[in-house]
Amino acid sequence: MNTRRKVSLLCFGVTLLAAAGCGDLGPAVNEIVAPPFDPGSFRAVSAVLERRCGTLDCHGHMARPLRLYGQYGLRRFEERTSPNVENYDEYYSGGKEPTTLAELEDNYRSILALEPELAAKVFAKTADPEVLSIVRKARLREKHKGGLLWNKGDPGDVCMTNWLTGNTDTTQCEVELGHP
Amino acid sequence: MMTLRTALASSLLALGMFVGCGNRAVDERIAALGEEDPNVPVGEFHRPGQPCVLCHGEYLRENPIMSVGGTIYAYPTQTAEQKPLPVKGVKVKLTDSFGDQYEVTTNCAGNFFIEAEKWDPAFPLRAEMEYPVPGALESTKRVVMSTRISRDGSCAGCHAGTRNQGSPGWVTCAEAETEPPFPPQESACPGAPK
Repeated sequence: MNTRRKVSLLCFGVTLLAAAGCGDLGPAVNEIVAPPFDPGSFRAVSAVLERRCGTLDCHGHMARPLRLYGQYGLRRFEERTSPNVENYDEYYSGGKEPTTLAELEDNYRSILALEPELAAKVFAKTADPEVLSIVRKARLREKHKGGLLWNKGDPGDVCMTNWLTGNTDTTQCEVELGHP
Repeated sequence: MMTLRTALASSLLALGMFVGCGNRAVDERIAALGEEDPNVPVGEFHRPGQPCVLCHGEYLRENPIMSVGGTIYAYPTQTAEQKPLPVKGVKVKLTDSFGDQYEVTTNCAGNFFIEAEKWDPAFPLRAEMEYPVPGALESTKRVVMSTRISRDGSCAGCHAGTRNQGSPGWVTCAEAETEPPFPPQESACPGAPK
């Protein structure tokens, strides 16, 4: 066997191996243990984030990370025929159509998908909520263009950390929403 | 002593840094605003309904540098072709996070702006306005913005065009056309329909 033939065979072997090795990319969804999506309790948490973080000039902006949808901010794109929207004529930023279930679920995923492994540790109470960027940025313990939203222990902070640690008491969310 | 090659490399590096200092995202938003209306001189009446602070802000530093600026219209438009009706004499009252307040009034183009050297507020801001009720002498009505302005001093950064899933539409005094109607724009106002 001459050298050229040897090289050709080697290349073919490498190509075959590479192709075979690319077949299995693993599961498309990685499941983590996290606060369950319970619209009953999450709606209050989402409402706080929609109001304090999700304005159109912040996280309600299409181009910004941690996208948040909501009644008074960015709406999730829906066609007129979408079953997710009850009153399509009022489905615009500031319209009367409340934050939809689909928007709530997207907000839920948006928050937990930031740092899923850490969120799982916080939910399991094996890590302090402050390991999460979303908690630190709101407390301005990390650079945040939007500045300080609340200090540790304030109603908004308790609302957020309660939910992250599996506590479904939303009393502090209501208190935060009552602030001017 | 610096060799010719080193000098050339340093110059190229400096040039690269100079060219690389822009913000393409902002540049493209500014370019998308288009050319000036030839019927309106550059000044307080120009470019109504456009995001003022995009040019009159820290990035482009067009004079005057503004902290907040926008345009107030009468009622929402229903189609992209419909021209909104600007309202003169609307008092815009802003309150910043330290409780400092500033009041400014719209001109005949519906425009208002606050120069940053006069008031440089701490965001988020609370916004409200008081507009002259059409047909009712010296009677005004107050409208309060339902959310806070978190960081963008340009009203039109969010409020632009007809209402849609990404914008509440123009900043308007009323929710719909009123009876009696809002007065038409003064014909002497730069850019007004003749």
